[in-house]
Amino acid sequence: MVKMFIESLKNLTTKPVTIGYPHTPSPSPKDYRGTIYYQEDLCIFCDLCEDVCPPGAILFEVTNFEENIREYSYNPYLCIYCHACVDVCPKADEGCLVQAETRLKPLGREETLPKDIKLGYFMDRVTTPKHLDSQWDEFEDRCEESREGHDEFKAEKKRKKKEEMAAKKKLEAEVKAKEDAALENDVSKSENNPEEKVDETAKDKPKE
Amino acid sequence: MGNKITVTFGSQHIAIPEPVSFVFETENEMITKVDVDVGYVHRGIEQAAVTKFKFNNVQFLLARVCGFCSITHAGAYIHGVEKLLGVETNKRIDYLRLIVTELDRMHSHLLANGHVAEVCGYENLFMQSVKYRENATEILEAITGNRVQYDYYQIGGVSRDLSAEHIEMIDVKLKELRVNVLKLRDFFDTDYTFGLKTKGVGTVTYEMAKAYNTAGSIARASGLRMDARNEFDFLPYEEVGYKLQTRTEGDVWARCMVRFDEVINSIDMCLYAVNNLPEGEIKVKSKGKPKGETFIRVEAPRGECFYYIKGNGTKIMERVRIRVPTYANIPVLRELFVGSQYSDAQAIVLSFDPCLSCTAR
Amino acid sequence: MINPELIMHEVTLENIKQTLLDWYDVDTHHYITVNAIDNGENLTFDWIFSEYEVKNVIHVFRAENIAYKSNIPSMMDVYPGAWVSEWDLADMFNLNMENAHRGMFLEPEAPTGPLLKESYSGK
Repeated sequence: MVKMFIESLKNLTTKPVTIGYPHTPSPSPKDYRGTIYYQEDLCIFCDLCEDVCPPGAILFEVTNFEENIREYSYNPYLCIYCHACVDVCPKADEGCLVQAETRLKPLGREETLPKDIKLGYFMDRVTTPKHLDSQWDEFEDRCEESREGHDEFKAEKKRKKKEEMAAKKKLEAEVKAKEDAALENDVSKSENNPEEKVDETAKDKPKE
Repeated sequence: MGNKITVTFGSQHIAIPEPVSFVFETENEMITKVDVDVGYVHRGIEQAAVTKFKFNNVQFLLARVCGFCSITHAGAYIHGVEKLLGVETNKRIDYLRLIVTELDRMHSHLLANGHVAEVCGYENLFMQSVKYRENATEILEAITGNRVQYDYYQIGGVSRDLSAEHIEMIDVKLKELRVNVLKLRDFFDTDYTFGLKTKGVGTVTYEMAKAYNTAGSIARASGLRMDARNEFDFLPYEEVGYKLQTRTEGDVWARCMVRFDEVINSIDMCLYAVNNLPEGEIKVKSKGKPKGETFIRVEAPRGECFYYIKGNGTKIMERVRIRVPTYANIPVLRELFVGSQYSDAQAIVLSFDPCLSCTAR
Repeated sequence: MINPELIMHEVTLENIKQTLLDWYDVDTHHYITVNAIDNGENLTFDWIFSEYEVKNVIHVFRAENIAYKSNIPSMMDVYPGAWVSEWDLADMFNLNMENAHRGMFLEPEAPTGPLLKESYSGK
């Protein structure tokens, strides 16, 4: 008890360990896991980051089916900063996906949203913080639809190609059939000589 | 006399930050009957692990079962998946994992002991514990890049390597922490009023600990030699100087003391591991999808954590069963209340260090 | 990589209690938990134990092909701390577990048997 009393007295004279947080900023730690930034011109659209993201904070929306153009979107307020996307990114060394050491400010109603094209298209387009959640939900649905649409489009394309191929084949087959028929006609004309055939079989036999 | 009064402890109570409800039936000050309810924060994590998440993402989900045991939960799962995938990790990965796991134990134990001091009326001892604990959390933050959700374990390795700078920092901070923890232990050990509140209170006898299959520091404080680190080779504990810590008293005080002894042991292990870090890669390639089943035991800060994992060769796991340490300790806690004073209930609960977000996961 | 030594014991629901009463020794065996696995058509039950101060040994008492609505015996007579895991399973798998108080882990308005395959696979 005496020791504790002495310690308490000592603590009275030492500097406080805590900081007056809202007024003095918290010291920024080194190598902290923070917001993810993206560079579109380096992206090869392999979709690995979307595939691996545990909370689904990274989404690619297919905007043009024919040319397979995708748009990267990221929700920094859904992100758990786990670093998994940067780990799988094949272009991470070149700076396609980079994890910053700081995080964005928490989202208040009065705050203005961060505008940075490196945060992806969704954050660029969303207008007010109040609607961010609902718009993200809509966006998720839209992404899924676009994905399904793209799959359908691809399937359709495949089917069309198949059909075309089938048609082509059919045409070829028809042409071939015609040619064959023509040839057969020739053969049937030439088949008028049965002796030749007998001769052939007779030739084969001794060989065996 | 003989007037029965029902006293509710929770679901929100100033002594515990998590929702658990005990309904005590008391006769004067004596508790005669207890009812427990724990399911206030059930999040369905076991179901989510087999429906929404792919096997290479489940560790991020499981790390969020509990803020304190996030390393051990993710670790247990990773050990299991590595077993199913046939991944053999190297020594450096094992050592790095061990360092982080033990640091997690240190700061958890220090907070648990601080909480006991707080509910015994020793607010400044709680502050002191949390002040010293900061060393451990700062190291974890520097190594893993986050203060609570470490996400350090990955399938086939760890997410970051230790630099020379880190090693130096860890060495300095851990040595400082060791001195401080010894000082704290001395306070807990010799303080007269703290002893009055904790010695001989909530005693779990050796027979009780065995009969109720308790785990963790509660079992070891009663003299039961039971530690998953000693019984299951999930990390190379023997090489770094692990020692089983036991006491025989079994009361609130002994549980605090076992925790302090373990913190000291953990610091020694970490110092050894940091200064004898083997060379090697920090990630081993893994491929394929988990197939088959496995059983894993790891020692979380609160006791033994058990995982059953079953994969079916697809991306989604078939079954992930989590047995958290608090499961093993709730039955004996309920028995312990009966016959003890109501004024001791808080100290008893906090000395068990219950984790309700683990229990209702 | 961990290489636990699994010791499997085949049991049935009828003889599990007697088997455990005979086998379980409070001085050497540590009860870990009881686990259920949904195979799609039936359940598999595992009673899992370890041994004090013995390395890497896990005893599993496995009962297979259990129908969903079977009466599962409680092991509280064998080791009194069994109820937490049992009540948890009873809630999660909607089981007829002996002595189980339903609703300790799940709230009354929660879905029944959330870990049953039919409740999440959309059958």
